[in-house]
Amino acid sequence: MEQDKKLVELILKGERERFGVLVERYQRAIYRFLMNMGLDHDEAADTMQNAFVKAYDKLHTLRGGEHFRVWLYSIAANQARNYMRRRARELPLEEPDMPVHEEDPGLLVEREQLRSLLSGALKRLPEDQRKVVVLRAFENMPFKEVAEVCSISLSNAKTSYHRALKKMQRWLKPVASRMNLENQG
Amino acid sequence: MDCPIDEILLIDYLEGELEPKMARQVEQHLEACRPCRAEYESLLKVKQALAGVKESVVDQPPESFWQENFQAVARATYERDSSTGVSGGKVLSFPRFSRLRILAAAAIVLLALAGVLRLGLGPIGPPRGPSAELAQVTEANQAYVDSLYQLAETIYQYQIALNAMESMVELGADQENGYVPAGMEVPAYSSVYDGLAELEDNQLQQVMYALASDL
Repeated sequence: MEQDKKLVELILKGERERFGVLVERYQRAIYRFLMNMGLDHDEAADTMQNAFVKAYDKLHTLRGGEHFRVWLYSIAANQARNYMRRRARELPLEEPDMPVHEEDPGLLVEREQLRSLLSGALKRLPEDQRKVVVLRAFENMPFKEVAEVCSISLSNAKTSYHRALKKMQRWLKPVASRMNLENQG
Repeated sequence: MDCPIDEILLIDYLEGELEPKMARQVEQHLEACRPCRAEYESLLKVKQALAGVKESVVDQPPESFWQENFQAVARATYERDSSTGVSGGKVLSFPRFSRLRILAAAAIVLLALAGVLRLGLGPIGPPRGPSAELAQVTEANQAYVDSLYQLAETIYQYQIALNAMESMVELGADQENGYVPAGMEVPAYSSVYDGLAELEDNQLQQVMYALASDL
């Protein structure tokens, strides 16, 4: 498998059709990232297409092709910003109403409920914190790259992550006592 | 707070990003400091919960979605390059539709197997001569053979359609209008043996393994 750096070099030398390999390589990850950022399917599909086309147009501005992946995430995140801002207006950053299973204290929250709770909590995080959590926890990105995608310092990336987890923990607390979170998954 | 553990250090510890010596120091502090330990444990729970649902948070779209996205990007970049004259009319390389190709290859082998089934399976009961035997085998397996043929043909035709689609894009045709350029060669329906001859060894091997495990 050719490395991103090599592919970018070849594309810039004129083998532009090779950009297809990069699309195939990253489309699933970018889609998942956008969906986790709170976009719906159609928005994620549009944003992903725009991100790839923009990356194709601006490829000559990328210094060091090995950073293509991080650069692509940055483009996708920027492209998604409009949608996310609209989401933020629609979902004010208040304490979300998390379902509490008062009727059955012994009930273990099922995986599906946990998924929905976490997904709801993620969507209610401020955009910058959500981005950090999604990149770190779901995309397994090192903090250094997270910081690059988000255009923030390394320490800011870690601080945002800390605050986001704390916030989520507070939101999930009402049900956390009945959820054996460690054993979920 | 007098604690030496700030939020960045705690996150570094949580994410396993500390050198062993530093990690041990943090660990010792967490054992001694209740508030820090409580905070660490609460963060750990959320981290673990997120890890537990990581694969399932996003519903996976159907496989065709990725091909559609690829084509949309291919079309957009082709149009851009055509308008600027950058690429000299090249379009993005299509990804290898390996699964479909294997399916198409499987179809060809299914056709071959169907032929074998028609002629090769012996009946249960006393032998009654080659013709009677063949008649009985054919009758007993007809439905199965027909469904194999049908499946194989569908898959094979799908591959032909896919090839045609690739050619259309390569020729810069307008897919949305369903325009097929004059002179474009649509692959003809090959015979079983032509099809088999076209397969690469590793493809054939994969198909045979897949079939052996299914049949």
